[in-house]
Amino acid sequence: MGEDAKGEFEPKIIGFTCNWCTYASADLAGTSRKKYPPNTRIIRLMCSGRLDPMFVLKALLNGADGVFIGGCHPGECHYIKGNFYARRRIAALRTILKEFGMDNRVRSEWISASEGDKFATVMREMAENIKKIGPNPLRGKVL
Amino acid sequence: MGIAVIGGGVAGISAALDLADSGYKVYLIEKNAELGGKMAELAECKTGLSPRIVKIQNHPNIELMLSSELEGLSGSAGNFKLKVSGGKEIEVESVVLAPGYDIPDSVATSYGYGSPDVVTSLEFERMLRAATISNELKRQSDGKPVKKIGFIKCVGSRCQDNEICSTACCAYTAKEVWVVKERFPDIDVYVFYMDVRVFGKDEELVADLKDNYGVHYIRSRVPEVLPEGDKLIVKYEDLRAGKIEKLELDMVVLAVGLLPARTLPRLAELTGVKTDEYGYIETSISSPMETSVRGIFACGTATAPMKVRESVGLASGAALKAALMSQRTERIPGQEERKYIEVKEDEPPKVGVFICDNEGEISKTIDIPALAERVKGLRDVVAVNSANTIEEALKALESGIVDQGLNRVVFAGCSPREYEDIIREGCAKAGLNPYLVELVNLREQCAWVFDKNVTDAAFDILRMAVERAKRLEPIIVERYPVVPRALVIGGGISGMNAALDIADAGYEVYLVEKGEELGGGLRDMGDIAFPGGESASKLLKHYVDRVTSHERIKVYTKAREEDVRGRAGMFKARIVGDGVDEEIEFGACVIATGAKEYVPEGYYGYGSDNKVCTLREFEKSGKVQGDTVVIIQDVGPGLKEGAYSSKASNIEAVNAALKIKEENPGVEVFVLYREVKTYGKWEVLYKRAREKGVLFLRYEKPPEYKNGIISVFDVIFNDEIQIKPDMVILSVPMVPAEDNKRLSMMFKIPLKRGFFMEEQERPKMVLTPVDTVNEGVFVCGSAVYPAMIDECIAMSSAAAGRACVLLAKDFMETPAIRAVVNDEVCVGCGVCVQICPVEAIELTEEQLPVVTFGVETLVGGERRIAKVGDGCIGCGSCASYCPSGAMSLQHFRDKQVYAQLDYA
Ligand SMILES: Cc1cc2nc3c(=O)[nH]c(=O)nc-3n(C[C@H](O)[C@H](O)[C@H](O)COP(=O)(O)OP(=O)(O)OC[C@H]3O[C@@H](n4cnc5c(N)ncnc54)[C@H](O)[C@@H]3O)c2cc1C
Ligand code: SF4
Ligand code: SF4
Ligand code: FES
Repeated sequence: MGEDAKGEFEPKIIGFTCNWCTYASADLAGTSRKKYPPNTRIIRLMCSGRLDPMFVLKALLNGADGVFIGGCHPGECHYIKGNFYARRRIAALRTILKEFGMDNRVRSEWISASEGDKFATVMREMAENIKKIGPNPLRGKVL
Repeated sequence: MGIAVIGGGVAGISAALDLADSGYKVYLIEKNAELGGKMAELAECKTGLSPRIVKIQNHPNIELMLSSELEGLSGSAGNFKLKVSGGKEIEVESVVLAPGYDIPDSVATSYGYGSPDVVTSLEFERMLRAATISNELKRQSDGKPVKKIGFIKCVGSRCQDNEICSTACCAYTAKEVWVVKERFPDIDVYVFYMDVRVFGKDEELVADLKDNYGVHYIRSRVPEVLPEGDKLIVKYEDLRAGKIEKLELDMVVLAVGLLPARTLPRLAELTGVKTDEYGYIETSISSPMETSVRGIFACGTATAPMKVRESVGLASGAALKAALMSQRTERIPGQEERKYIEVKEDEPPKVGVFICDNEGEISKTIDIPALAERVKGLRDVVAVNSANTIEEALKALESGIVDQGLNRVVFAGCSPREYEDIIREGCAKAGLNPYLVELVNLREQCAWVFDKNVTDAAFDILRMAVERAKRLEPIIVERYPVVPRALVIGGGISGMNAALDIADAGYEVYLVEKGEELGGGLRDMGDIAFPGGESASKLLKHYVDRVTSHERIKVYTKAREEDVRGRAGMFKARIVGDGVDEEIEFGACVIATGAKEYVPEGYYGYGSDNKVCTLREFEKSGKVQGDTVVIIQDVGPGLKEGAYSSKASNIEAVNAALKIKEENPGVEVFVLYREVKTYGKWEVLYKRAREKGVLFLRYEKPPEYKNGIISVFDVIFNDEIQIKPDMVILSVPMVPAEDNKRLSMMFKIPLKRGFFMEEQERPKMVLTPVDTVNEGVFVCGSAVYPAMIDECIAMSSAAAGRACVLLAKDFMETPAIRAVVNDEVCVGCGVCVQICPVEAIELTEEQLPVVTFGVETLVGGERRIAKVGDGCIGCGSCASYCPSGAMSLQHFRDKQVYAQLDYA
């Protein structure tokens, strides 16, 4: 896994999405048949506020090459403040990730339910960028 | 007995479901072999509609009669006898007609129809669906990709054969253009139009298409299409240059109008309902769902051309009215107390995996047999089943739970956002706690988006789901009784109508108005008469009289609601006002705060020049000054300044111009406009006003008013025109009620530009026009956006109808996805209390028992622990912030998410 038939590196990306906006945008990407790399794994949370920074660390420790966090646009969270909390926590997490040179593997975006194209584009861009920086060095190292 | 619904399009479907969900027996009669009507043919729309269709097929209270038509009707309200094709006879107390619309049979030959590359919009919807899958929009003639496409609006509407405007075409054309530009940004798009009559979200969409998508909107008189070789030449009149122009295109879409269903004349004959001069079922402004026959109601496009949003709104209203005449005889589904098979914590998981192919949609890219084979090999998976349709999958699931003793279910198919409720319900019926099921999005988020290794990806996703499912826990929800009362906020026409409808249905209503009197905006409209003869003042009196004398409506004026708590079925609030401070409980709430006229301070000398007034001010006084009246449309802030254009202002201005002219034939009346938005049957006002001699001048640059002279550059005559008015009436936008912000915070419903505009995912597909994100809270009238009075009445009946569906229930269930505290681990730090966006958590002090020698004896002091209250909305923020790990969110516990990560 993590490689396609030709042995080329195919980054594995874990995407945490909130149910009301970004998960819905991924659905719209589907109905519009917008393509993105098949190594993307979407995990549905009700709100980005549920995102525990541990989830991101755990994903990276498990060897994911990239982690994406998607929520509603500022001011549009279904639960009022969840995306605001998520933004704060990702910012804090970044300072730690920087020390390990991992911060460029984590990206967050606010994507509303009508932005299917944006979702697919972000997924493609992430895969492209991570291809350039190579596989997660922790892959296969930690149990 | 029961209620018959005739027509199974989106309107009929919605009416049937509202009725069945509130315990009425429904016979749904559809002439085709399938449900869905026109909406099922539209690109993308099927996805939103399908869950409703599945729900109907499984509804215990609905008897579905497909491929059936009405053949006879006798009796009267309360006891109709219906003869249905195939020899069936049914008896019902009331009837809802929803036979929908048809598009014209023929299109004028001047549009080049007949050439394979000239298609109607309905045909184009089908092409768009195919194009989505193949990712190419091709010409039908030679299969070459389309590069330049033109849309021609108002084909077969606003003309001699059909004088009214078809309402939906402006918006659906914008949607089609948007889909084209989203999918194929390189295609050049031209839209030929007379007026762009779009409102609210659609108005924003059109602006976006012009400004950001580079779509060319060309205002032109009816153009001509001439097929020439393999090209199509569109000849149109460039109004600005006053020249005939030619444009070469390779495809043309004709936005055809909506006409009354071809079956309608026969239906009218059988039922005796009157049709109007355009062939639609006749209804009136103040009772938009009532036909000329008592006990027979109508909704959807059978009453006037309209979009899905309005069709569904009328359907909910018609359902409510039909229910008033009928006895509730059936059980409301989901009300009985459920018993589930006990699943112990240490019991080994037995997972059943069900894969639904969505009628072949998924197997196009995923090898389902191979996938099933691999899934069978996963640990703890004891059964794998693949089915072609969701119905088959549901059957397999139910028997799997009963026969094989499954204690976990993984259901893979299309997006859970569509079918979640139906699948959980299926599990519950079979006795499995509905939270022991995990749904997998194989269609939208796998089959449709990946173009290689799709089966491998599907397997990985299923493996994640199986591992998560194994760690799911049963969630026991509590039932609580529904308070059979409603709160209606706002005492304008919408609020009064909603209150009356709910009260007529048998529930008590608190009606809160912040002003001194009931009536709202209607009070400012004086004696103005609406088409159809009713005058504002008569309507006002009728409503106020009925509301104040209704035994179940309690009116509070000069009051407002505060301190709203609770949730659908059991809200609490305080009503505070002149000498009252009352605590109330209610099950549902309707917000109808209306909108008010913008004050155009500084525009055209308003405020200082006594010749100048606003439209409402004129309507209130009804006085015409002098011999020359100028009405200026679209004064004040527009879309770019944060306001929506108002249906009401635009149309009332035309109505006012007509009235002035009719009553004072000697007076010269000018209407200076950007766009005349007399949609639907209101178009007749526009036509009549022109016939009577009202002069309409179209401006692009706002007119100027200096030294008593108005100068306007008319783009049709291509000349500057000067008028010396004796009276200037300004038609300004309607702005949202000030209270909306406070209400939005209190009820947790977002605002758009200050209005309670509904959420939309894809442009223009609104199946829940009056529901909000907060269950149990409904919105209607100009609080949603500035609407005409008929729409306010229709939508407030819809809101009342939806509220009554909820109030009809005896019980509701507490939400399953909510935060829970592990008392033993909580250290009482209070972080969660700070974090919770709805203040649902409090710290409680608890006596600490001390255990000495195995016996609980002394009280050893106090300890603080977090306690989650009823208000929790389940965002999970507290769980991710809790430093000790004491707080978790049910169904999204750490171990459940970790399981997915471990197997990703
Ligand atoms: C090209 C096009 C694009 C559109 N796009 C949009 C859009 O993007 N957004 C939007 O909001 N609206 C759109 N509309 C409008 C939308 O289609 C209608 O508002 C909506 O479908 C109306 O639903 P309905 O239930 O009233 O009618 P229909 O969908 O026509 O349903 C009526 C049903 O009744 C049945 N029936 C008729 N007579 C009888 C009888 N005698 N006995 C039994 N059954 C009968 C019919 O078979 C049919 O199933 C579009 C319209 C067109 C033409
Ligand atoms: S889940 Fe959200 S709403 Fe519920 S208690 Fe926690 S923070 Fe509050
Ligand atoms: S639940 Fe967690 S955050 Fe809340 S008081 Fe207890 S320990 Fe603190
Ligand atoms: S619901 Fe989307 S971020 Fe909160």
